This record gives sequence, structure tokens and C-alpha cells, in this order.
Amino acid sequence: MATLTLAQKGSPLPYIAAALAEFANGTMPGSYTVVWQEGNTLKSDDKKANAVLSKNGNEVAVGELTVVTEITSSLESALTDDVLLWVRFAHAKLGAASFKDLEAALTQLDHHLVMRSYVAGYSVTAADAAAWGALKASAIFQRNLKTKPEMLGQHLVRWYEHVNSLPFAAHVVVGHANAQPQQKQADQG
Amino acid sequence: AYLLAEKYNSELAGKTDADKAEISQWMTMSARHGPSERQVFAQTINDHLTNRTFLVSNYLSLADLVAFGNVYAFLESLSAQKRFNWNNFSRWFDLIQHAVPADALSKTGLKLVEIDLNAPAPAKK
Repeated sequence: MATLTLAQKGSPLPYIAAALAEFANGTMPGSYTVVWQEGNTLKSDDKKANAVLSKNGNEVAVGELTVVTEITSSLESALTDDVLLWVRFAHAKLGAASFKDLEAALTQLDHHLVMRSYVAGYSVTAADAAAWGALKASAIFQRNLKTKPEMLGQHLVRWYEHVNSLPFAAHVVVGHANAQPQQKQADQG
Repeated sequence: AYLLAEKYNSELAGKTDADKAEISQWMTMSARHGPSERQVFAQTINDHLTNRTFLVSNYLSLADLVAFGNVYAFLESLSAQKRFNWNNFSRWFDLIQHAVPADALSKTGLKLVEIDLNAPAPAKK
């Protein structure tokens, strides 16, 4: 069994990994047990450990990028090149640290969604999940969404609100809000 | 079409009472707009979908399917440029025509309308 453990205050917030796991659970129930844990890292000696994926008790990936790669490859059958491209875009561009880079990525995505309901194809895919996760984790995006959504582009906002209303997104939000106290660090130190 | 109804039966008619009422309003509206009023109806749909993906709530319903049948010929007649101008309407139309199984579409005598998804770049602000 695969277990995904996520840091509630990780940096960045590991919402892309969470979204992909909950999305996978939507298509194949029980694929991932998602556990949110309090704190900003899952390993006291590694600040980048905002996400850890374990299979049958063994850690297979530490850190959101490797976790995302691992979850994405397990979705393989449902992936097209287009979906893969946008999952990468979500991580690399929508997770951009600089405001300028993020702004360019938001403009690109808004334009992409003028004639499209979903990021890739005609139904919700891992591409939507990953992009939603990246924006959910983005403090800049969330602030603008609340105070001046017109700045973000109406197509982007319409798409975001739609994806945000889907069950997998609700699972991510509920899980994050109900993080468990940190376990003893004895076996992790 | 029967298989489609069978498959989605309950959800297509609406998941909640509020959704059912809204779906029924859209079906009435579809029925009221005759062939000469397609453009008005398409405009209504386009405005309504500015901040929505489906006509009612966040899932495919009879409201979408019935309205889709109503405006099919109208969209087919639009030029590529007009489709971009009515982007909410065209985007929704493209979504619904792909949500309907291909065999159900062809049984009703319709075929996929090819819609250019690459809208022209927006004017610089």
C-alpha cells in the first residue's frame, strides 16, 4: 500500500502532490493513504522534506518534486503527452518563486483556457489536479483570487473555481485542515 | 441515447432539488427558443458561462444536452472568428459534444464540429 505523508506547513505547501494523490484516489479508490502532519517538514534534518511517499513501509520518494514524479508515473495508463507537459508546467511555472515568472505563467494558462474547459482534453485530468494544486499553494494567487480576481483573467478564474468545486479538491482541503500531530522523531532522526 | 440516459440517469436529471429546478428552467428555455431565436439563446448561454463550465452546477446535465441540440446548427454556421468572439459558448459546445459518446451523437444524425482551440493572442494591455 502507498502512503503519502505531507507537511501541513511545508515550503512550498505540498498541494500538487496532495492533489495528484487525491485525483488518483478518485479514479482508483484507495490508491493512496494521504496523511497530513503538523509542522513545516517531515524530517527534522531536512527542510525540503515537505512530502514523503512510502510503499509497503519503505520510503520511495522524499520531497514534493520526486513524489510528484513517482505518483505521475504510476498514473501512466491515463497519461497523454499533453497531460505530462501540463503537470510539469504546474510544478515548474505555476510554482515559480518570482512574481514575474508566475504572472507570465498565469497569463499563458488563462489564454490556454479561452476555448478549453479543462487543461488537457475534455475531462478533468492529472493536469488540472497539478495546476490546481500549484495555485492552491501559491500565496500570491490566493490573495489575488480573493481581492482582485479580474487581475488573474476570467478564464483562469472560471477554470480554477470549477476544479476547486470537484471532490478531489475538497479531500485535499479537508486533509490539510485536519493534520495530525507530529509523530515521535526517534526513528527518523 | 438510451444507454447514455441509463448510464447517467440520475445525475443527468440533477443531483439536488435546486439543480433539478434549474435544469428544468433551462429545458423550458431551450424549448421556447425557436429556429429564428438561436442567436439570442446562444448569447444567453455565452453570458451565463462567463464564470461557469456547465450550465447548471459543476457537472453535465440534461440542461447542457438539450441546449446543445438546440444550438448545434447555429454553432456549425459560425465562422472561426465568430466562435472566438463567443468563446464561452464555443468552449461549452466543444465540451458537450465530446461528453456525448460518439455513437450516441451519430445516432442523432450529428457529427463532431471541428473547433479551433487556439484563440488569437489577446490584445496587449
